[in-house]
Amino acid sequence: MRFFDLANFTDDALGAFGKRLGYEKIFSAGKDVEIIDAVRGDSQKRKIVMSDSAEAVAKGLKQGSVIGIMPRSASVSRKTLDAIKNSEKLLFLNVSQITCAEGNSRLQRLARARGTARSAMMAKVPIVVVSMAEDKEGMMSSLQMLEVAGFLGLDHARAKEALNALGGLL
Amino acid sequence: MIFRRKMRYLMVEASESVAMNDPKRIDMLKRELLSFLGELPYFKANPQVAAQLNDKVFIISANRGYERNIALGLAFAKKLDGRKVGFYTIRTSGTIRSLKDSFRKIY
Repeated sequence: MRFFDLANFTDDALGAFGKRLGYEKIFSAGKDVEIIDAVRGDSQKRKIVMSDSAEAVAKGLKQGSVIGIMPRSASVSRKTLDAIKNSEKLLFLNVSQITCAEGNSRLQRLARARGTARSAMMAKVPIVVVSMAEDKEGMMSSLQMLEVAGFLGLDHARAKEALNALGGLL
Repeated sequence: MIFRRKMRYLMVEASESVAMNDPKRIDMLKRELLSFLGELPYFKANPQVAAQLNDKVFIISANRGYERNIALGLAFAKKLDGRKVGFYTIRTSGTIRSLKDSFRKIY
């Protein structure tokens, strides 16, 4: 199975680096996909809505160019999860905000992410686990990402699907 | 009867040069792993730096069955000696020799 990741920075060396880490490709936010907090207009470029606002999420789910929703910090409501499932979009889980945090902040974010992942699995919403690393130090290998996905509550098969899902869309 | 521990080895690449033959650096990395894993899982895994292949790539040994915990711990270890460092688990194997062969092919 092929694995993909999404980084929040652009680097020419990401191609060879990604191969060493076990990824087929590492996509860059800003270059391969836009990360937006609210939908304005409708361009053809693939977008991910990164917002906790229910209004922004609902508006984004109606756009064809939006491929999924990434909660910024708060947990996702059941209503939002149902809307994501009905519109056949994806739920993105940002891992680097957990791994790069420290102390109590990390524990809180981990608990929240586990809750979100659990709710999404119960609602049968497709999940994508991405690093969204701000720099090279925030990245992880595919082997580590599978372990982190397992740590968030996904079983091994689902964790592999979560790392594979991005490839078909971008 | 010969008692042999069953080990698993992880090839780890760091984002910058790390002198993993320096005992102080090794101690710092172990502390990072200990702080994330906790005492009991850490001592069950028993991570040790087995070899340094170049300035960024080294091999860690762990008791078999606990190498995934070490890989997870390395994903959360983002600091070494006050500097921001990333640790990427490239490959795991039952022997150091096969990891050294992989290293020659990859790097």
